[in-house]
Amino acid sequence: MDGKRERHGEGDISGGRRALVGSLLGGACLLCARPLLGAADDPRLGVAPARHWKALDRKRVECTLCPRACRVADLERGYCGVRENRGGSYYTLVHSRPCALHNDPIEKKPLYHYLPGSTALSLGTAGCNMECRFCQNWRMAQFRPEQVESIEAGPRDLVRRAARSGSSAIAFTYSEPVVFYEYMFDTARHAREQGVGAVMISNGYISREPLEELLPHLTAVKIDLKAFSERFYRELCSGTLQPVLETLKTLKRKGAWFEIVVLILPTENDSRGELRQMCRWVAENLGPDVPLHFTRFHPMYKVRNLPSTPVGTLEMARETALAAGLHFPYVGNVPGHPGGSTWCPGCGEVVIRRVGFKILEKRLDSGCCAKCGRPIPGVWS
Amino acid sequence: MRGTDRPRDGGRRRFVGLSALAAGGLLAGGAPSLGAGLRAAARGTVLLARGEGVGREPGAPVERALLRRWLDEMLVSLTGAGSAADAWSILFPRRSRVGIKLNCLAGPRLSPRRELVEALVGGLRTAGITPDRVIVWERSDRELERCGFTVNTGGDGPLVYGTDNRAGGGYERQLRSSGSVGSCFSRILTEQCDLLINVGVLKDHDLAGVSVGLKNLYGVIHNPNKYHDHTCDPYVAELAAHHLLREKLRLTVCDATTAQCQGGPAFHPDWVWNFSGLLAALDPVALDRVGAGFIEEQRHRKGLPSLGEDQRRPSWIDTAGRLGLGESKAERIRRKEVG
Repeated sequence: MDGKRERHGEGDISGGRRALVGSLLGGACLLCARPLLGAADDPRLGVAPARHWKALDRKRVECTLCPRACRVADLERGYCGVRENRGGSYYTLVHSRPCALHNDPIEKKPLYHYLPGSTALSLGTAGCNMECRFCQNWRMAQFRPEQVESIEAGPRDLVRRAARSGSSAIAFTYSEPVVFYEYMFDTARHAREQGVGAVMISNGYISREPLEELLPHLTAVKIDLKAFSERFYRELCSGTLQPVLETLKTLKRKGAWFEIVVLILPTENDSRGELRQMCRWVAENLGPDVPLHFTRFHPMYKVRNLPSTPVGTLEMARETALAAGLHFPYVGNVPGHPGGSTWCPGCGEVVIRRVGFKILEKRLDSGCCAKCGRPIPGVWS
Repeated sequence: MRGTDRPRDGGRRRFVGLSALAAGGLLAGGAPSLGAGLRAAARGTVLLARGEGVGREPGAPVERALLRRWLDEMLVSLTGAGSAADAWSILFPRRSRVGIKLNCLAGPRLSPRRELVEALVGGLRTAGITPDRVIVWERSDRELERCGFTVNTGGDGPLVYGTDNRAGGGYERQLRSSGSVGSCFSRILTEQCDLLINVGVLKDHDLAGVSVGLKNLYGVIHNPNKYHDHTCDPYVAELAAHHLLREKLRLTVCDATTAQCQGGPAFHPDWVWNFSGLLAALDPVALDRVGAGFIEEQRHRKGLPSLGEDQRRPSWIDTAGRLGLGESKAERIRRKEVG
């Protein structure tokens, strides 16, 4: 959270690099058998064939990973900056090249109904398929892989690290995991085989086919619903709303556990009317049990002319959600606020009391409210 | 990007190094100004040199002396100076540090030729600018090396290196804005050069329509992939309108020894032709307009649809004209031949 930024030390990078020397044999990834870097390749790149694209004429390709559907000429990259056309074939450049790798509380993602109090080995690479003007991780997300420090960490290595550190899951996060899809897919598949969870923290800007291919390997998903207007998506994110709504419906249809975060920007997406529309849509299409986090914005990246979100606005959003029939709306990024705790919709008692990322009290009994016995939806064990 | 999930900041350390270096004396001064009269006189003027057989084979050597002679004559014509040495001196004052930004994406067969860069360095020397005050640069060392340039970060001769490979990070930490463009600029441009020579290639570009001169300035920013929508309009123009580029961009040269009318920005042998020439201008917009015209003519000869019919007319040239960066209207452009 902005009020509680931590710094990762350089030791993470150098230590990781040393630890990973032995993870490659003969230069080929043991898990995904991705090709060696070519002689002309930058060693900072993790080049592997992309999974979702189609060939066009003149050696051009069309990326089918996300709704942007970039048409990419030979030697060019897609909007994300991390997928490149090489002679008419498409490649990811960030496989096994995270530029951030940390153990974080799962509450930081935020996932409030997923193994509360556990940690997730969290990683991200360079690149993003949107450009949110308020991006707080823009030094990763809005840079190309050659421009950021990264380490080599393949899927097997990540799963080993997660198990060693006692993490409940590997979290694909920080930048936008959709753009490092192949890395996420290979890691999540291996994690599942090893009994380690895998969670995707995403903007939900992904095409249906790759999403459905990935979902069996994920144990939870968090989607940023940036706003409930196409204008906001177009002007502040260089994206579109409708595909994100489609992603949410796919998650529901497939039975995935997911939570939604809405970062509230004063004057941009904080009107009661828009929030009411959003909450009604969530209730009607996703059901009342989807956790909906309204989080606090602080000036960042290209949006420095707006103040931090007043706490009262977040409270209004939470009340709007409750009035729309949603059971688990939260106030986020306001440590200590009662709206950051989980309240039983049956008896109204607190089920999980949080301050920031800390769990102070957990009154759950086999996934049910310890007082009234009402089931609380989520992944609890 | 999410509202809360943020890695612990590992970026700051990367950037401190260069800031300290800059504060220690590497910072270049402001760009020496060019007389308004000269700029006005050169507006809408594009110099063209052609020689039969020059660049007959993509990537094959060309005669450096010929390129140098062409450049000298072009600069004399553009400045009205009495000699080549005077012309170079007018454009590039003795104590300035000059960056030569190349366009090496397509590899050795469709990138600025080494001989052209050597001719430029030679011309700058006549203005009293020693090679160690010249930086030949691109986005990455690898792009330069692939085109036959040897990376040189401190030896004899001109400095040669890419932004991406600089220790501590080659881009500024803070964003700079120009219209709808918001980017971190290469420190080579912002801190190490007083003046810039932009050296492009006469070629088609799948997204921008053409890549002749101004499009090459995408190599100055960290996030060019964010500005490819709408045939790069208005982004190419708005980037070029940033005051740093307006102040520092002194000369645009287009290597047209080998040109390509389709399939760019990569090299595609089916679409290259032997243009055997060189273009130069102080007015980058006029140069782009003339270059785009040559590409359209070649497309017509080859039976290809026009760029407009192909839904990629380089409308950013018009936008650049409207922003006052130069002359975009073909009927107002003077094409002068030398050589």
